[in-house]
Amino acid sequence: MQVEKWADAIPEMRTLFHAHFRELGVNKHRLTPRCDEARYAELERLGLLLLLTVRAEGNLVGYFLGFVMANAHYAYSGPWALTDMYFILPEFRKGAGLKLFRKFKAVARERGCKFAVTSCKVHQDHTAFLEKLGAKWTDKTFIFALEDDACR
Amino acid sequence: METHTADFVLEFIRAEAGNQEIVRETPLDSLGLDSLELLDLLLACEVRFRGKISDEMQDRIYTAGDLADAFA
Repeated sequence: MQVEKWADAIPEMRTLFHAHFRELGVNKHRLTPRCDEARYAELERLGLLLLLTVRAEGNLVGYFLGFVMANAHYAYSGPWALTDMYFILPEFRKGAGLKLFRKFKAVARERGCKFAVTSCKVHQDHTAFLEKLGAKWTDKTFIFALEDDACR
Repeated sequence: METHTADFVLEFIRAEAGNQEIVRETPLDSLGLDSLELLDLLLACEVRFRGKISDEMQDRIYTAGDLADAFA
């Protein structure tokens, strides 16, 4: 596991985004697995991006993307590490998730964070893993699909 | 933390991992355990030997011997 620059990782990340989306995406009928690359590059330029990569024989097999930034509703709490997304190709997962999250915590500490926030999908529930890694389940997150007739 | 020999702890690791062929040099990565199972192994050691291993220490544990030494 290592910290990597956005420009170095994104060429290979583009390929993994499709596998990531297939396995974990929700609202797939409304979304496409293509990120705003310029925005991520700008976030890195501003010092707000946290990118970890998982490589096997030099090839990208996973990543953890997050942000390190102030929490506006806790003005004096220092920077927080926030999770954007993470993914590891299935055939490389044995134990890799543990290393990836330990690295996330370590890098967050190095960057002055006292708190790190993460999440998982309902349909791929990592609650037991995250709690055993020391996280506390504090929130539930919901998405409104505002174009759906059922969304009132 | 309770004090035991590293061999005693290693025997416990073998039992928890269900693998009697584990030796000190066995990489934890080679046990075929997923992340949750690896954490369960670590937590089982913490409970059994009443110790706590920090994240920083965990990052330096690569083999069964390293894990046994951490609780010995």
